[in-house]
Amino acid sequence: MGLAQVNVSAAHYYFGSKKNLLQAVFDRRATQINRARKERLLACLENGKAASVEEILKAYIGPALEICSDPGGQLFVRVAALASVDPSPDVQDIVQSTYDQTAKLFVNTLKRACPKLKEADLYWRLNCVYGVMMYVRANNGRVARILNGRGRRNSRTVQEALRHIIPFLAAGLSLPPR
Amino acid sequence: MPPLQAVAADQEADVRTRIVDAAERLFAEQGYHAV
Repeated sequence: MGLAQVNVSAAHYYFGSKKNLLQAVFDRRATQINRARKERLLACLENGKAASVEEILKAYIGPALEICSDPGGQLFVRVAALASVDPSPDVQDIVQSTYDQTAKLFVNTLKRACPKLKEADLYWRLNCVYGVMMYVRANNGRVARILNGRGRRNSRTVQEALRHIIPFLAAGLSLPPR
Repeated sequence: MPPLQAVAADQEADVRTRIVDAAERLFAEQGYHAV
């Protein structure tokens, strides 16, 4: 804990356990992500409006990418990426419970916009949505490397990413049911 | 001058923030289970 000029006993005193500390890390960033997602998703539903798939995707994915620009945001992105594949029940509890409420709002809003899709269609297509969101956010340089050998694209912006990925994902979600 | 309790609350919030900052960096760089 030397980085923060605090010690382990202070961390234990204020948070009690390592799990609580991870929860605090998630709460701080996820509160911001969840608030933005909820506001934007509810705006998609305002006055019984039929929002487009693109608007719904942008409302959900945008805040997850915007966090990258915050001070320390890249650290959180790495913690969230590691936690998302961590099989430990403690970690999974935190990851799932942190995002469940807005994720369910997202799925329900999407179901209204894609009423013909069956559960299996949504299952596979949402896997693609989450895959893109997590991979783009991780920005590990792999795609730029295999595409042009130059490695990570540091100059990309959230708006640039959204301009490319949202229409692509919306087109996939809008395909007829399998 | 702010009341003593307010100062104490500010200091506590500052310590909590610094602990969360440090934990975020450690979890990111070393992983949750290595800490």
